[in-house]
Amino acid sequence: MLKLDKIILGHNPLFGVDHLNQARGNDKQLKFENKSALADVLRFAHSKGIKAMMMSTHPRAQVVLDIVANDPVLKDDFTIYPLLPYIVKYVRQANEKGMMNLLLDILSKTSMNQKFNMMFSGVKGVLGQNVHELIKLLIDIEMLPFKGHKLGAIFLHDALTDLAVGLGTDSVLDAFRDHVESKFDVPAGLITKNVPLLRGKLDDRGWSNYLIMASFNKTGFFVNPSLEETTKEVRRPGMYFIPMSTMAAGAISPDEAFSFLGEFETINSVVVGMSQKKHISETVDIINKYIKG
Amino acid sequence: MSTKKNPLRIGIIGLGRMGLMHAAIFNSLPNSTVVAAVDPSMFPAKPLGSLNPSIKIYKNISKMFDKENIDGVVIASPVGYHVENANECIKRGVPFLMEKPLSLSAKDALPLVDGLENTALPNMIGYMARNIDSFAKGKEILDSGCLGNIQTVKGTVYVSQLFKKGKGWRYDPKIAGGGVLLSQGSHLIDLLTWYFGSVARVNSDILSVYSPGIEDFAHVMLNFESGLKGWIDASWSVRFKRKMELNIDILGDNGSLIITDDTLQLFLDNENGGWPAGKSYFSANDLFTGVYVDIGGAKFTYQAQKFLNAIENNKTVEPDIKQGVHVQQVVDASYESASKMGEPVVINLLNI
Repeated sequence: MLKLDKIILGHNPLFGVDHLNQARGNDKQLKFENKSALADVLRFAHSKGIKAMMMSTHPRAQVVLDIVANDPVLKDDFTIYPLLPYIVKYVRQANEKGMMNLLLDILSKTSMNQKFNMMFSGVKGVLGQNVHELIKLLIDIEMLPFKGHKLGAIFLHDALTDLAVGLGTDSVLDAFRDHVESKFDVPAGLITKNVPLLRGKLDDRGWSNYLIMASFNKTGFFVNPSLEETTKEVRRPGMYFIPMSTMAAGAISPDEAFSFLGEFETINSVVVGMSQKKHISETVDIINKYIKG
Repeated sequence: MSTKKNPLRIGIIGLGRMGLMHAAIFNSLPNSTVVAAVDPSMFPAKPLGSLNPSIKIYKNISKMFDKENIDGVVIASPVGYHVENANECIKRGVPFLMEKPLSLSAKDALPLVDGLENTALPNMIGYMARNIDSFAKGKEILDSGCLGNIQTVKGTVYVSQLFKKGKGWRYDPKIAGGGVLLSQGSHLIDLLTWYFGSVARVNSDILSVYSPGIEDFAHVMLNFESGLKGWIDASWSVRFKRKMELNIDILGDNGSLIITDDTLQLFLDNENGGWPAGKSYFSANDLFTGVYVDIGGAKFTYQAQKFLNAIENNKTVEPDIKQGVHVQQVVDASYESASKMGEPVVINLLNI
């Protein structure tokens, strides 16, 4: 039985992402340029029982990780759920430099020891002989900022999960899972925008009791192909499921959001993006009322 | 993909980010499958071919056509090769969807217009912003005529992308063909020509801050063939725009319409065209509809479905290459005007 934190703080509001209204996200990004405001929110959330956070390797992530590492309370009692990789950065670089140069750039960030390994595995990976070795190396590079932190699970970004499934190259998901579980000793999770398609593929590959995170909310916002089909999959056993976009990017109230999610016995953890103290207090109470951890 | 019944066989030209994304979408949709990809460089072509052997990898497009039976092609090669690849598709009679922008200049692309002149070959240019829920809804509202006579329109496109000298092809004028106006501004120009028809004349000013010969800011006054006047502003060097943000603000004598990537706000003085007086607001939640598969955004899935539908029914699809050429003409004319201190430049209109 997988034990995950019941409430995982989403990073979007702290990093300036707002799916309903980018202008509002931009304002938040400005607000949290101030480091002490960010630390204050994390400490407050912790005092209310939120002891976990989802985090990509966004440029702001290092700030958050430093706050956690240097805080007397947070440092031993705050779990990070890394989300790999910080895709926006790579998308831009891929556009500008091309895929090959992007890959070489990433690999150049490795340590000497890793470089040595790369000579044998990475280069072969590039040539298509051993792609899975290359994937391991890329995971290790992305995980560098999280060294020394308490980890809950490591998630693969939906852009890569869905790309791998779409391209019919889903064996790379096996490589991701195997490396995360053996090297970091935490569950490997997959984020997706297409729950039914992904589940079909993982079942075909013989996966069981796997961990998936995806948008799931009462209004069906960001839920593909439909709320109805995804609901069926969320009810179907064989998967640990963590919903995100739980409040439909702020379109529905916390009570509406979590009373809906509370109806699913399979849901024991939720990701919620919150950045205001009042909102955190209210929402934690509501989640505890409806969601069985 | 063995469960698909007679799927359309798609070839992907160029395995950069866009090519991979298109490949994943077409390979996932129930009525298509990707059978081949063309890319001269080893990564990611080689790993793709070894991880999924049902996608055959070729070094060039003609080799792919010689060996494979292809029903449709996605051209996502570097811009400089777009026309050459499209010409090969026309020669072989294979429908194609081409990534934007069309070419380095409108003149380069004119042979394509000639090549397509007497064929019914489905051809499409990847201005996908038309498929963003809010902008599609905007078209529906405008077509209802509810705003009355359109008085003026302004559009902006901003993204935080470049704050130092750019590296790579995107910032090399010879390879990229232009800066933010061509790269992101072209989406805005496509939306405005979709809404309001051809542009007849422009005045423009551009500003290069970071990369010589590549504009980081562009300001363009548009004179549409219909007589409508408007302006656009584009920059990739503004702060706090994590993703590209498009914004269109339309003023009519019966009200106003403001469209963003996420939202749509209509205000009417009087009920008209089936829309009520007062404010009508649509949030991202109101506008969202699920898609069969979302890889990189629903807008690309809608685009793929339109392209497949055009192949299946052998019919035209929008935006087509001709419309892409017009967008390119507007961009070219803007550069010319800017180089002449903002002098008006008249566009030699294609019949679109």
